[in-house]
Amino acid sequence: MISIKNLNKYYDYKRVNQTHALKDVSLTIEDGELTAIVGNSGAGKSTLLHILAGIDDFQSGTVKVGDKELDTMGPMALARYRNRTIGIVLQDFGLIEGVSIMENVMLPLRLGSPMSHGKKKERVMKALDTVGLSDMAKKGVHKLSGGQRQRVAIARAIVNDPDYIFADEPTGALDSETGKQIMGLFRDLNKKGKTVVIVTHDQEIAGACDRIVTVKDGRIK
Amino acid sequence: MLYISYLRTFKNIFKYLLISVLTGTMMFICVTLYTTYEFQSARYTPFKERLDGKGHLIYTAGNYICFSNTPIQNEFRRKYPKVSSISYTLTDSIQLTGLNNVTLYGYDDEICRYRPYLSEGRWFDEDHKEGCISAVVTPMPYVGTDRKVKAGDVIEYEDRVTGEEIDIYVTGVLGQGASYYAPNKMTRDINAFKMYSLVDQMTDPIVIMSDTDIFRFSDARASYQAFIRYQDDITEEEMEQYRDRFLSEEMATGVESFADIRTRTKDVILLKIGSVLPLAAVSMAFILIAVICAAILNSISEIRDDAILYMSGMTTAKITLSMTVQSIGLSAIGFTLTLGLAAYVRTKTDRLLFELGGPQILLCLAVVAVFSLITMLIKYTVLRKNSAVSIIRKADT
Ligand SMILES: Nc1ncnc2c1ncn2[C@@H]1O[C@H](COP(=O)(O)OP(=O)(O)OP(=O)(O)O)[C@@H](O)[C@H]1O
Ligand SMILES: [Mg+2]
Repeated sequence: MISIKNLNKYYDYKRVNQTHALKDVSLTIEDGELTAIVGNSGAGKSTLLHILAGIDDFQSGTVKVGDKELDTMGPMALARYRNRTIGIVLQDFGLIEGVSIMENVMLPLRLGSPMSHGKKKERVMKALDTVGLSDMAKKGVHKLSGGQRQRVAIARAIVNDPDYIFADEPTGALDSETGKQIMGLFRDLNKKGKTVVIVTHDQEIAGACDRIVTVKDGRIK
Repeated sequence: MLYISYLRTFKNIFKYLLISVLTGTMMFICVTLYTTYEFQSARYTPFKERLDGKGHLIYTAGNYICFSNTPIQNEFRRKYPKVSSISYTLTDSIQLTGLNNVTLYGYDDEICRYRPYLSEGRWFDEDHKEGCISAVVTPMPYVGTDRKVKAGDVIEYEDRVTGEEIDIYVTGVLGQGASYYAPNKMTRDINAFKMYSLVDQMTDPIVIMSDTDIFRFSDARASYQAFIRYQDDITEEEMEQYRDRFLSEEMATGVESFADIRTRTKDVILLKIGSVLPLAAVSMAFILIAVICAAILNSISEIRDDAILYMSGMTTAKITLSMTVQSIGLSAIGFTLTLGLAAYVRTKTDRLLFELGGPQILLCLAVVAVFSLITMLIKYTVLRKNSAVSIIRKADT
């Protein structure tokens, strides 16, 4: 379960240009839910997602993802949390250029798993299989189309078999047809038991989710 | 984490090769510079202790004061009670079988601390032959032949007074451009470097042996140059008086205080360093700037990858550390390149001043440390200024 209570986030805290990006936000998302977060530009959607993903800090409130209380965790624990408990998918895919699909997907395993190389490969192949790219593992990522790149990014997000997947505008850079296919992938993952949170502008994508949370001006509506 | 350093490096192999070459060049300059400094100041080492404290270097013209003559020395010490010790070098001028007239010098252990450059063989204390006196010689021919004296030759001599036969075993030959301590030399404004003569085409035939071996030659006597050390309680006025008396009563041809010689020697060392330092400093500065630019470009161009690593489960500290590991690896490659370059230059010339002693290794380590520290600092600053979030955000919009 994801449980956010009285969350406040300021950018440039205590400076003249301070922005109160999230205002006393409370939100609960049950395990196994497929949730869309929608709202106008600048509403605070990405901020909320980045906090959930353990890549941004906040000033007050509690954030609990599964059994992890993010507000009490140090940098090492947060790094492990990003590595094991969750998977992150971004609009621009976030792949390391110049190396193969295999290397990109293996990255989270390289960073923390004491398993053998053979076992890692097996995991990578399983993840690539899930996104439908298992026959392209050796290819360099620069040769791929946008949709394929996003599949690689999703494979990387799920390679450690996390319980939670957080995606920020995963279809934003794709044409609508490809976007639909990627959305289908998220639905499949959700069916396999993963809790998925997707930030999106796209009504159609949002409509394909179980639940829609609207953020307006830093508050949940 | 090692893997991350490796991954980064092999993604941009050429960029990193360039950085390695830059750090390697920096090390090369440092090592060469230090070796040059060591080489230049090495000739001062034998005189460091000898010129320490209060004393005079005096030049005596021939027979007036011969310190190796015991009654003369005793008389001298009686007249100048503040003298605590006298050091001098024994010398002789003799006719060796098959050679022109040669000059012998007997070096003590202190003088031997500076080893001149030998074109062949070894220093006289490093090689021995049964029943022979070991000696090093300047290049000289056998009379009436075009053969030169070589390391390994044995030259015979029959003592004029005792008739004893002495065999001199040549252990080495001084090379062109080598400097050897020439205790008969008298020069104005003497400093430690001027106590040496240079081996060139015109060099007189010289045979150098140890101060114990030269006693075998019954004619050997003190050279004209002597280091007179005083007791610590001697006053400036007394020293001045002694100087005047040496010149008038003892017919000394020159008297110089140790303090003056020390000052002049240090001036020369500074001058020598000063002549190479600006050039070295400028080239070092250029390379340093290049390395810093490379480090900055490197940090910035990789910041996106850093964000991905962060997102996938690395802490900022570990990302910085992986960068540092990489820098150390790169400068290690640079060090290897430096050794390679030195080895290559050696095959072209034997006079490259490049030697890896303790201080030089420390200098190389300092280069590694400076480079790694710079990259680490830059990386850390860049990562702090642009948190992973803002990078992800920038990449995202
Ligand atoms: N690094 C930052 N420094 C200062 N203010 C920021 C920063 N990032 C976001 N903000 C501000 O915080 C607020 C929320 O931004 P956020 O990116 O979360 O919105 P969003 O809902 O994701 O918008 P969009 O749909 O355009 O992506 C905005 O007012 C934005 O200007
Ligand atoms: Mg956003």
